[in-house]
Amino acid sequence: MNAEPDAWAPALGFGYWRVVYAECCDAVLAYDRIVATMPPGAVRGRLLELRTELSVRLGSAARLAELAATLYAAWPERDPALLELLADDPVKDLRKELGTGPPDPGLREALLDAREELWRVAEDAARLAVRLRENPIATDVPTWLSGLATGVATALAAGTPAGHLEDG
Amino acid sequence: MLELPSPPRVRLAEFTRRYAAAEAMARRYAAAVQAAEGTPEYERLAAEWPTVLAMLDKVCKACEVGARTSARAKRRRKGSPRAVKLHQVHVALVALEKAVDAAVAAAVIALLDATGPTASRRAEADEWLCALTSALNELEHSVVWIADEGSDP
Repeated sequence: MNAEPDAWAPALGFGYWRVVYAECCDAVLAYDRIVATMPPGAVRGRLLELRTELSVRLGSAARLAELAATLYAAWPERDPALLELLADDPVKDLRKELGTGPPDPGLREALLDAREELWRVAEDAARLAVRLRENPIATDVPTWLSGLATGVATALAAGTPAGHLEDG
Repeated sequence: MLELPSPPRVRLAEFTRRYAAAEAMARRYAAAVQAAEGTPEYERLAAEWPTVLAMLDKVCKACEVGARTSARAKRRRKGSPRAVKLHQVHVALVALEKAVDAAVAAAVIALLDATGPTASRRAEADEWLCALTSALNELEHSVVWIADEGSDP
Protein backbone atom coordinates (compact mmCIF):
# COMPACT_ATOMS: atom_id res chain seq x y z
CA MET A 1 0.00 0.00 0.00
CA ASN A 2 2.97 2.33 0.13
CA ALA A 3 3.30 2.48 -3.66
CA GLU A 4 2.39 5.74 -5.34
CA PRO A 5 -1.28 5.72 -6.34
CA ASP A 6 -1.84 5.09 -10.01
CA ALA A 7 -4.80 6.85 -11.59
CA TRP A 8 -4.87 4.12 -14.24
CA ALA A 9 -5.35 1.39 -11.68
CA PRO A 10 -7.97 2.48 -9.13
CA ALA A 11 -7.75 0.94 -5.67
CA LEU A 12 -9.93 -2.02 -4.95
CA GLY A 13 -13.35 -1.30 -3.58
CA PHE A 14 -16.91 -1.52 -4.57
CA GLY A 15 -20.19 0.30 -4.82
CA TYR A 16 -20.58 3.98 -4.14
CA TRP A 17 -17.08 4.59 -2.80
CA ARG A 18 -15.37 3.02 -5.74
CA VAL A 19 -17.35 5.26 -8.10
CA VAL A 20 -16.36 8.42 -6.24
CA TYR A 21 -12.72 7.38 -6.11
CA ALA A 22 -12.81 6.53 -9.82
CA GLU A 23 -14.04 10.07 -10.44
CA CYS A 24 -11.02 11.37 -8.51
CA CYS A 25 -8.83 9.28 -10.81
CA ASP A 26 -10.67 10.66 -13.84
CA ALA A 27 -9.70 14.20 -12.80
CA VAL A 28 -6.03 13.27 -12.61
CA LEU A 29 -6.22 11.46 -15.95
CA ALA A 30 -7.83 14.54 -17.49
CA TYR A 31 -4.94 16.61 -16.11
CA ASP A 32 -2.44 14.19 -17.65
CA ARG A 33 -4.11 14.41 -21.04
CA ILE A 34 -4.18 18.20 -20.91
CA VAL A 35 -0.49 18.37 -20.08
CA ALA A 36 0.26 15.93 -22.89
CA THR A 37 -1.33 18.30 -25.41
CA MET A 38 0.83 21.23 -24.36
CA PRO A 39 4.02 22.14 -26.25
CA PRO A 40 7.29 21.58 -24.41
CA GLY A 41 8.34 24.57 -22.37
CA ALA A 42 8.38 26.16 -18.97
CA VAL A 43 4.61 26.05 -18.52
CA ARG A 44 4.38 22.37 -19.29
CA GLY A 45 7.35 21.75 -16.99
CA ARG A 46 5.58 23.51 -14.17
CA LEU A 47 2.39 21.51 -14.74
CA LEU A 48 4.42 18.30 -14.62
CA GLU A 49 5.88 19.42 -11.29
CA LEU A 50 2.41 20.01 -9.90
CA ARG A 51 1.37 16.54 -11.03
CA THR A 52 3.49 15.02 -8.26
CA GLU A 53 1.44 16.89 -5.70
CA LEU A 54 -1.77 15.71 -7.31
CA SER A 55 -0.58 12.16 -6.75
CA VAL A 56 -0.30 12.89 -3.04
CA ARG A 57 -3.88 14.16 -2.97
CA LEU A 58 -5.07 11.18 -4.98
CA GLY A 59 -3.34 8.90 -2.48
CA SER A 60 -5.19 10.45 0.43
CA ALA A 61 -8.45 10.15 -1.52
CA ALA A 62 -7.67 6.45 -2.07
CA ARG A 63 -7.18 5.92 1.66
CA LEU A 64 -10.46 7.73 2.38
CA ALA A 65 -12.29 5.57 -0.14
CA GLU A 66 -10.83 2.37 1.28
CA LEU A 67 -11.73 3.38 4.80
CA ALA A 68 -15.26 4.29 3.72
CA ALA A 69 -15.65 0.98 1.87
CA THR A 70 -14.64 -0.81 5.07
CA LEU A 71 -16.78 1.16 7.49
CA TYR A 72 -19.78 1.83 5.25
CA ALA A 73 -19.77 -1.13 2.90
CA ALA A 74 -23.42 -0.88 1.85
CA TRP A 75 -23.61 2.94 1.73
CA PRO A 76 -26.04 4.65 1.83
CA GLU A 77 -27.94 1.72 3.28
CA ARG A 78 -27.18 -0.66 6.08
CA ASP A 79 -26.16 -4.25 5.47
CA PRO A 80 -29.14 -5.69 3.54
CA ALA A 81 -28.66 -9.09 5.22
CA LEU A 82 -29.06 -7.49 8.65
CA LEU A 83 -32.14 -5.56 7.58
CA GLU A 84 -33.67 -8.72 6.22
CA LEU A 85 -33.17 -10.47 9.55
CA LEU A 86 -34.64 -7.59 11.52
CA ALA A 87 -37.63 -7.39 9.19
CA ASP A 88 -38.18 -11.07 9.81
CA ASP A 89 -38.51 -10.59 13.56
CA PRO A 90 -41.54 -12.51 14.89
CA VAL A 91 -42.57 -9.75 17.31
CA LYS A 92 -42.15 -6.53 15.32
CA ASP A 93 -40.19 -5.03 12.46
CA LEU A 94 -36.98 -4.00 14.18
CA ARG A 95 -35.53 -2.18 11.17
CA LYS A 96 -37.15 1.01 12.40
CA GLU A 97 -35.00 0.90 15.53
CA LEU A 98 -31.92 1.60 13.47
CA GLY A 99 -32.94 4.50 11.28
CA THR A 100 -32.40 4.76 7.56
CA GLY A 101 -28.65 4.49 7.26
CA PRO A 102 -25.44 4.45 9.29
CA PRO A 103 -24.43 7.87 10.64
CA ASP A 104 -21.52 9.41 8.76
CA PRO A 105 -20.03 12.49 10.43
CA GLY A 106 -18.03 13.63 7.42
CA LEU A 107 -16.18 10.82 5.68
CA ARG A 108 -18.28 11.08 2.52
CA GLU A 109 -18.01 14.86 2.53
CA ALA A 110 -14.21 14.65 2.85
CA LEU A 111 -14.01 12.33 -0.14
CA LEU A 112 -16.34 14.50 -2.21
CA ASP A 113 -14.20 17.53 -1.31
CA ALA A 114 -11.14 15.72 -2.60
CA ARG A 115 -12.93 14.92 -5.84
CA GLU A 116 -14.05 18.51 -6.28
CA GLU A 117 -10.57 19.89 -5.64
CA LEU A 118 -8.99 17.52 -8.12
CA TRP A 119 -11.54 18.46 -10.76
CA ARG A 120 -10.99 22.15 -10.10
CA VAL A 121 -7.28 21.72 -10.70
CA ALA A 122 -7.91 19.77 -13.91
CA GLU A 123 -10.30 22.47 -15.13
CA ASP A 124 -7.79 25.22 -14.36
CA ALA A 125 -5.15 23.31 -16.29
CA ALA A 126 -7.53 22.97 -19.21
CA ARG A 127 -8.25 26.70 -19.25
CA LEU A 128 -4.56 27.44 -19.14
CA ALA A 129 -3.87 25.07 -22.03
CA VAL A 130 -6.65 26.59 -24.14
CA ARG A 131 -5.46 30.10 -23.41
CA LEU A 132 -1.91 29.23 -24.42
CA ARG A 133 -3.12 27.62 -27.61
CA GLU A 134 -5.25 30.63 -28.51
CA ASN A 135 -2.53 33.10 -27.63
CA PRO A 136 0.97 31.62 -27.41
CA ILE A 137 2.44 34.95 -26.36
CA ALA A 138 -0.06 35.64 -23.60
CA THR A 139 1.51 37.65 -20.82
CA ASP A 140 -0.76 36.58 -18.01
CA VAL A 141 0.38 32.95 -17.97
CA PRO A 142 2.25 33.36 -14.65
CA THR A 143 -0.98 34.52 -13.04
CA TRP A 144 -2.85 31.48 -14.36
CA LEU A 145 -0.08 29.19 -13.25
CA SER A 146 -0.08 30.77 -9.85
CA GLY A 147 -3.83 30.19 -9.60
CA LEU A 148 -3.36 26.58 -10.59
CA ALA A 149 -0.63 26.09 -8.01
CA THR A 150 -2.85 27.65 -5.38
CA GLY A 151 -5.59 25.17 -6.28
CA VAL A 152 -3.19 22.28 -5.86
CA ALA A 153 -1.95 23.67 -2.56
CA THR A 154 -5.53 24.03 -1.34
CA ALA A 155 -6.21 20.44 -2.26
CA LEU A 156 -3.19 19.28 -0.31
CA ALA A 157 -3.86 21.51 2.68
CA ALA A 158 -7.34 20.07 2.99
CA GLY A 159 -5.57 17.00 4.29
CA THR A 160 -6.94 13.54 4.72
CA PRO A 161 -6.11 10.61 6.89
CA ALA A 162 -2.62 9.40 6.23
CA GLY A 163 -1.63 5.84 6.39
CA HIS A 164 -4.11 4.50 8.89
CA LEU A 165 -5.08 1.62 6.69
CA GLU A 166 -1.61 0.89 5.47
CA ASP A 167 -0.75 -1.29 8.42
CA GLY A 168 -3.93 -3.29 8.22
CA MET B 1 -6.03 -7.16 17.86
CA LEU B 2 -8.77 -8.81 15.84
CA GLU B 3 -9.28 -11.93 17.93
CA LEU B 4 -12.84 -12.96 17.39
CA PRO B 5 -14.30 -15.78 19.48
CA SER B 6 -14.26 -19.20 17.88
CA PRO B 7 -17.41 -19.77 15.84
CA PRO B 8 -19.88 -22.06 17.56
CA ARG B 9 -19.26 -25.75 16.95
CA VAL B 10 -22.90 -26.74 17.11
CA ARG B 11 -25.37 -26.30 14.29
CA LEU B 12 -27.10 -22.95 14.65
CA ALA B 13 -29.67 -23.59 11.94
CA GLU B 14 -31.62 -20.38 11.35
CA PHE B 15 -29.48 -18.62 13.98
CA THR B 16 -26.36 -19.01 11.84
CA ARG B 17 -27.11 -15.85 9.90
CA ARG B 18 -27.83 -13.98 13.14
CA TYR B 19 -24.44 -14.92 14.55
CA ALA B 20 -22.74 -14.06 11.24
CA ALA B 21 -24.35 -10.61 11.37
CA ALA B 22 -23.06 -10.07 14.92
CA GLU B 23 -19.59 -11.16 13.89
CA ALA B 24 -19.62 -8.77 10.92
CA MET B 25 -20.50 -5.95 13.32
CA ALA B 26 -17.57 -6.85 15.55
CA ARG B 27 -15.26 -6.76 12.54
CA ARG B 28 -16.59 -3.31 11.63
CA TYR B 29 -15.89 -2.17 15.18
CA ALA B 30 -12.34 -3.48 14.92
CA ALA B 31 -11.88 -1.58 11.63
CA ALA B 32 -13.07 1.62 13.33
CA VAL B 33 -10.58 1.17 16.16
CA GLN B 34 -7.80 0.55 13.66
CA ALA B 35 -8.78 3.67 11.72
CA ALA B 36 -8.62 5.77 14.89
CA GLU B 37 -5.08 4.71 15.71
CA GLY B 38 -2.94 7.69 16.58
CA THR B 39 -5.88 9.87 17.60
CA PRO B 40 -6.97 10.80 21.14
CA GLU B 41 -10.10 8.68 20.80
CA TYR B 42 -8.19 5.50 20.04
CA GLU B 43 -7.66 4.51 23.69
CA ARG B 44 -11.34 4.80 24.54
CA LEU B 45 -12.43 2.84 21.50
CA ALA B 46 -9.81 0.15 22.06
CA ALA B 47 -10.81 -0.09 25.72
CA GLU B 48 -14.32 -1.15 24.71
CA TRP B 49 -13.12 -3.87 22.34
CA PRO B 50 -13.05 -6.58 25.05
CA THR B 51 -16.65 -5.66 25.91
CA VAL B 52 -17.67 -6.03 22.27
CA LEU B 53 -15.96 -9.42 22.16
CA ALA B 54 -17.67 -10.51 25.37
CA MET B 55 -21.04 -9.44 23.95
CA LEU B 56 -20.36 -11.32 20.74
CA ASP B 57 -19.56 -14.40 22.78
CA LYS B 58 -22.84 -14.05 24.66
CA VAL B 59 -24.77 -13.55 21.44
CA CYS B 60 -23.13 -16.75 20.24
CA LYS B 61 -24.36 -18.62 23.31
CA ALA B 62 -27.81 -17.09 22.87
CA CYS B 63 -27.83 -18.35 19.30
CA GLU B 64 -26.91 -21.84 20.50
CA VAL B 65 -29.78 -21.78 22.98
CA GLY B 66 -32.05 -20.40 20.29
CA ALA B 67 -31.07 -23.14 17.85
CA ARG B 68 -31.89 -25.81 20.45
CA THR B 69 -35.24 -24.19 21.18
CA SER B 70 -35.89 -23.81 17.49
CA ALA B 71 -35.22 -27.49 16.86
CA ARG B 72 -37.96 -28.38 19.35
CA ALA B 73 -40.45 -25.88 18.00
CA LYS B 74 -42.22 -27.13 14.90
CA ARG B 75 -44.16 -24.05 14.11
CA ARG B 76 -43.32 -20.40 14.09
CA ARG B 77 -45.94 -18.48 15.92
CA LYS B 78 -45.90 -15.32 17.89
CA GLY B 79 -45.13 -15.98 21.57
CA SER B 80 -43.64 -19.43 21.04
CA PRO B 81 -40.28 -20.06 22.78
CA ARG B 82 -38.61 -20.06 19.41
CA ALA B 83 -40.11 -16.71 18.46
CA VAL B 84 -39.04 -15.26 21.79
CA LYS B 85 -35.45 -16.41 21.26
CA LEU B 86 -35.38 -14.96 17.77
CA HIS B 87 -36.68 -11.64 19.03
CA GLN B 88 -34.16 -11.53 21.86
CA VAL B 89 -31.25 -12.15 19.51
CA HIS B 90 -32.58 -9.51 17.12
CA VAL B 91 -32.80 -6.98 19.95
CA ALA B 92 -29.19 -7.75 20.81
CA LEU B 93 -28.22 -7.26 17.16
CA VAL B 94 -29.89 -3.86 17.12
CA ALA B 95 -28.02 -2.81 20.25
CA LEU B 96 -24.71 -4.05 18.86
CA GLU B 97 -25.28 -2.23 15.57
CA LYS B 98 -25.97 0.99 17.45
CA ALA B 99 -22.78 0.55 19.44
CA VAL B 100 -20.75 -0.05 16.29
CA ASP B 101 -22.35 2.94 14.55
CA ALA B 102 -21.30 5.14 17.46
CA ALA B 103 -17.77 3.75 17.44
CA VAL B 104 -17.43 4.28 13.69
CA ALA B 105 -18.72 7.86 13.94
CA ALA B 106 -16.31 8.67 16.77
CA ALA B 107 -13.42 7.12 14.84
CA VAL B 108 -14.25 9.04 11.65
CA ILE B 109 -14.45 12.35 13.51
CA ALA B 110 -11.19 11.65 15.30
CA LEU B 111 -9.48 10.75 12.05
CA LEU B 112 -10.71 13.80 10.13
CA ASP B 113 -10.05 16.00 13.14
CA ALA B 114 -6.47 14.82 13.42
CA THR B 115 -5.56 15.54 9.82
CA GLY B 116 -8.02 18.11 8.51
CA PRO B 117 -7.86 21.88 8.66
CA THR B 118 -11.27 22.26 10.28
CA ALA B 119 -11.93 23.22 13.85
CA SER B 120 -11.75 20.49 16.45
CA ARG B 121 -14.81 18.30 16.80
CA ARG B 122 -13.75 16.65 20.06
CA ALA B 123 -17.10 17.47 21.66
CA GLU B 124 -18.95 15.69 18.86
CA ALA B 125 -16.63 12.69 19.14
CA ASP B 126 -17.26 12.63 22.88
CA GLU B 127 -21.00 12.51 22.24
CA TRP B 128 -20.56 9.47 20.01
CA LEU B 129 -18.34 7.80 22.60
CA CYS B 130 -21.07 8.36 25.19
CA ALA B 131 -23.56 6.84 22.73
CA LEU B 132 -21.20 3.87 22.38
CA THR B 133 -21.10 3.32 26.15
CA SER B 134 -24.85 3.64 26.36
CA ALA B 135 -25.42 1.17 23.51
CA LEU B 136 -23.00 -1.32 25.03
CA ASN B 137 -24.86 -1.06 28.36
CA GLU B 138 -28.11 -1.68 26.54
CA LEU B 139 -26.55 -4.64 24.79
CA GLU B 140 -25.18 -6.01 28.04
CA HIS B 141 -28.64 -5.95 29.57
CA SER B 142 -30.25 -7.59 26.57
CA VAL B 143 -27.77 -10.46 26.41
CA VAL B 144 -27.83 -10.99 30.19
CA TRP B 145 -31.55 -11.42 29.83
CA ILE B 146 -31.08 -13.99 27.09
CA ALA B 147 -28.34 -15.82 28.99
CA ASP B 148 -30.48 -16.03 32.15
CA GLU B 149 -33.28 -17.63 30.23
CA GLY B 150 -30.89 -19.67 28.15
CA SER B 151 -29.46 -21.49 31.13
CA ASP B 152 -32.40 -23.89 31.20
CA PRO B 153 -32.23 -25.75 27.91
